Amino acid sequence: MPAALSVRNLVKSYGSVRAVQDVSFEVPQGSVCGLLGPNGSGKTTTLSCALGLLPFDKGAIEVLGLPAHRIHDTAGRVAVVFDGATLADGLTCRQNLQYARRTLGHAGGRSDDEALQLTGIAELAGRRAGGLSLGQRRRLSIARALIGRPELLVLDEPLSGLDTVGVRAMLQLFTRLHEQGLTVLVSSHRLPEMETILTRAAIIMGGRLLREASLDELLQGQRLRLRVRAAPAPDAVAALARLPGVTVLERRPDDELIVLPGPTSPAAVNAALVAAGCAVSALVPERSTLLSVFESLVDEQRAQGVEVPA
Amino acid sequence: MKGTLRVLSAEWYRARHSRVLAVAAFFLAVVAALRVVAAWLADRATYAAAVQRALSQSRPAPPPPGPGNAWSPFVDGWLAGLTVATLLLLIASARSLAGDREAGLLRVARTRSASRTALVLGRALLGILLVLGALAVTGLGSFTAASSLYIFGPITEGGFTIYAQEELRAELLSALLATLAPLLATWVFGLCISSLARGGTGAVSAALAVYLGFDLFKEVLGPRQYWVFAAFNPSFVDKSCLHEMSGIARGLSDAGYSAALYAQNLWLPWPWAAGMLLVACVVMRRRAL
Repeated sequence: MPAALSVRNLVKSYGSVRAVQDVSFEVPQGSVCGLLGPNGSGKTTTLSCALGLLPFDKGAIEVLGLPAHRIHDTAGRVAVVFDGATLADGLTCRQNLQYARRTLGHAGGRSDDEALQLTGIAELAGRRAGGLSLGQRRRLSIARALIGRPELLVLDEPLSGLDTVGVRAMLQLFTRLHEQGLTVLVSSHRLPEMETILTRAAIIMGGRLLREASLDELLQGQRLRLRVRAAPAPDAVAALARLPGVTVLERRPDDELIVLPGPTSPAAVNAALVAAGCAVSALVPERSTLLSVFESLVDEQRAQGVEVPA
Repeated sequence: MKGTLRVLSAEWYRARHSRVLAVAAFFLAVVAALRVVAAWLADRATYAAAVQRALSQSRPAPPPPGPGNAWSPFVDGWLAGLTVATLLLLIASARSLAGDREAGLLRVARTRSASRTALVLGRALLGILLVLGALAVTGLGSFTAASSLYIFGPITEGGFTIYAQEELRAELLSALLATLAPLLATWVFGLCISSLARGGTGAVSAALAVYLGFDLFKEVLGPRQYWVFAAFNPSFVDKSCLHEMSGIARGLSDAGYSAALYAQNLWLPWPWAAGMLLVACVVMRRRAL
């Protein structure tokens, strides 16, 4: 089955600043794929290029089998929800959907009422978009994206600015849409929340793709990290340095040590510290999460001498 | 072409359902009508002054004048409405692409089904509807006020008919036809500026600055001003064909464009519009949305 979106060797510069460097990833049909990374990592630039909104320097992008610059020929099969709800403020919610439907050019597929109900704002149909809250505007943007027959739904930072309840509702909505057969690509820096819905993730930082894999692969391949508190800290660092394959990644201002144990077990690390005369007050193996995967990738980048923003 | 028509349909839908269009249409009709009312009040004031002068000189007051001919105030009212309409059209077109780009609406349309060229051409076609609407609304406002306060009739002087009603209607039709093309070119000019600008406010400011700057200083160019489409628009420093029609409605024998200038008025705005539309399309094809 061909990918819903395929990005190959994408390069995009703004003047002398290279915003995206040789990024390649695919969004398989039927997946919920995350384009993850901190603010300013190049996610939105990558998405803008992929959606034919921004000319790029090099690379090849296909959206539902068409080159990105011909995205309009997908005739509504791609729907995008941009960061910052892009609505016609002078129109009501229903009129916003009608406005979008006219641009779309066909009346088939999901109706306005269905889209409003699915996003939980059916009771706001007659309200002007300019008077809606941020969460309601976000929902209306999604409702607008859902009219017609979209196959690929692209969401750029859909959780930004939402409160906890709003975030939960939004994640439930994405899951429901995925269950209805939609392929979803979501760009976000909210890793813990994204982990609950993604089936696949591409992690991008500093304009570079660090990893792309299914979520299972990403979490299984994650190397264990230990958070260690041992006094005196310099002795602990020296003891750990003597262990084979153990790397002290970071010594924090509160003397907490972030340690990559490598082949050495946490118990052996503890024993080595005790043998060195250190008082170990904490030794916490970190659970493998998307956030820890990301942190370890950041650590790897730092270890390789790549400058990573704090 | 389908994409262009889809954009036109969507933009027309948005325009019809926004309060701004209704308010602007009402405002233009009121401006046109007020211009007629102002002319009527001026006539009344002139008569009142004549009565006062006569009474102060112990002469009998002159008889009240008749309702007067409606043609001159009607054309003046229409002209005033169109002068304001031109500026509103310019503001709307300059705001169009740049404002929608700023609001992200162009991105939404682009990713769903509209090509970049269609985004421009659809809005250009919307201009035709809005220009025709502006002509209709201002004409209606002026006609309603003029026919309420005056009587339409032939232009006469000393008992002789200078212009029959049929001639006046034909002249008015010619003048309106001559006004249509430059107004459309003005709309496209706004789009062109809009495609170049970073934001809606900047686009509107730039478009108004260039347009009003030309209007104020066009006299410096002498006859060469007529090589610019904007010289034919109803404006504050008015040189338009409709302005000449206003002279005709007053019975001025030397009013009206020459045949050559009228022909220039009819064709010159089109290459201007085509050129500016091309620039807007080229710019929009290259811009980040």
